[in-house]
Amino acid sequence: MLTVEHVGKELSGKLILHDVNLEFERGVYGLLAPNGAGKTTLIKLLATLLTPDAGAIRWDGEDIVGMGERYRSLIGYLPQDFGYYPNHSPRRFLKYIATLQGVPRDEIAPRIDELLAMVHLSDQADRKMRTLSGGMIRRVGIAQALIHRPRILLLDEPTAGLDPKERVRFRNIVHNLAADHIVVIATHIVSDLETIADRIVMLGDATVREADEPAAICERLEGRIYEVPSGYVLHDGQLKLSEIQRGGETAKRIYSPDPIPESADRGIESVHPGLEDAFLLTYRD
Amino acid sequence: MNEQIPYPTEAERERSIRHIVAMGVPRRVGLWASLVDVVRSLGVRSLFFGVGDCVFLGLMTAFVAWAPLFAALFGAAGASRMRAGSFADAAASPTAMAQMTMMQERALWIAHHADVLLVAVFLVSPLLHMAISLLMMLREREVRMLDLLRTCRWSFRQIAAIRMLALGAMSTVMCVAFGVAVGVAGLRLDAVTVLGVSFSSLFVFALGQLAVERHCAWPASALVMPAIWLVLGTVLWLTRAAVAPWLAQLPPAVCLAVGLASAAVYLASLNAYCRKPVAIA
Repeated sequence: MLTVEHVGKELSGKLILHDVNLEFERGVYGLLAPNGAGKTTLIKLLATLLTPDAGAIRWDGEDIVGMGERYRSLIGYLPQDFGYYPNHSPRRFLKYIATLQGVPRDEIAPRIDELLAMVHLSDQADRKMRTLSGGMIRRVGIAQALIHRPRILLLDEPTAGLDPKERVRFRNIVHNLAADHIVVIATHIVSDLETIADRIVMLGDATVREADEPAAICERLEGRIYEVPSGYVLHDGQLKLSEIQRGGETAKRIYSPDPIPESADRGIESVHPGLEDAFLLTYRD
Repeated sequence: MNEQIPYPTEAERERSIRHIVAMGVPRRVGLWASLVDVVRSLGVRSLFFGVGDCVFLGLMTAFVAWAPLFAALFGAAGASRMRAGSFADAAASPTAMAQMTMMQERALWIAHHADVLLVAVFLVSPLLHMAISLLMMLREREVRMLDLLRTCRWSFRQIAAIRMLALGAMSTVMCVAFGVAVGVAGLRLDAVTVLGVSFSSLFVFALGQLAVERHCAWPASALVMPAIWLVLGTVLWLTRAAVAPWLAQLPPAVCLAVGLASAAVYLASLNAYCRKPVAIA
């Protein structure tokens, strides 16, 4: 089990994380927060690219910084700004990373073939990476993170640059890994997590604002999310979350702390809350 | 229930303690162990993966810088041979005679100012190391690979240390080649002094670069040492009339000892750098 205990981090004099406590077991964890809320900092702390100023991160009770190589062999990391060598092919790049990750020589070639097939890049395996699309590069990034069969996958904005089809493919890959991996995905795209995350962690004001199952987070908003006509005037405590298209007309999706009588005539309808509603409510201006 | 519980022996207890400590304390891999591991597991191609063109460009830069020094040496040696030989033959052709006179004048100038070569050697010796390490740093930044490499099982610090060791070795080959050339050319310069000056310069630079990389953040880590060397080089070149004779008068054994001591300190520092846990902010 990976545990984050009272972790604090300051960067350039700015408090990024304060007294963060989290536990990660097998499954998919979504770090959901707007840009600048500390997602990447937390991922970098989990990847030992940064050390906590306060508290500790432990793997099965052992401080990950002290574990050094033993911990690094457990993690697969996809950085937000994934770099690559443009003049090399995905196959050569993966071979290099496999070597650095200590994969035994005789296992490297079959593992690369397996991963390239998994991310649907077998046809592009020997093309120079500079000729690949952003989405393909991202898929190479996912493959490199998995090359040494890590137990913990740290993915920072993994779907940036992926088209909708590739996003679905990515979600399927992550879903298949969830059974025997800890997968931590940092993103601000709610749809990336809605269907695959076992637990959502929302960061804000340098700390954890929410850490729960998506269903539980949504359940707390049950009976408080409404779709109303665009002309509806908001009352005290009510908040506009988003604008939507309903029956060819623009409508509003709102949060109301108190129940609103539903009315088909007036176009007021109570709806099931989604993760996006929770996100928008948590991070309202 | 009166079973005898078999207690571990003293040796077993000690072995268990050693095992627990070994598991708990991060492994400190030194330079030599890393070198062996790198050669066995990574190979030279992986060591310079993605930066092969930087190595090539660095070698070309160093070649361009060293070439005039080698040319000066061999020019001087050639002219000396000519002086001893066929002036009479050349006298038959006025063009050949003029050419020979010019070469001889140049050779005489080099022979009289041979000690200036020491200043040039001091400045040029770290160039290969400087050029390749600077280009590699720029490349790794450009391709944004550093974060990823730092999370790999192989410590990036170990790889960086072995790369620096390789650069030091390549530069040493250049320095030794020049020292040998000085010996062959038969100039009024001591080859041992040349080697000493060359090694001192190379390893002082390499030590400085290592210290800067350990303690300075980007971009200072890449620019501080080249900038220092540029300033130092300019000052030395402008004051070469005073500096060169002083360098030439140094006892060759002292020069070489200083050079070898610099190399030893560099290797020890590289070893310490290698053993330090992964670089973390």
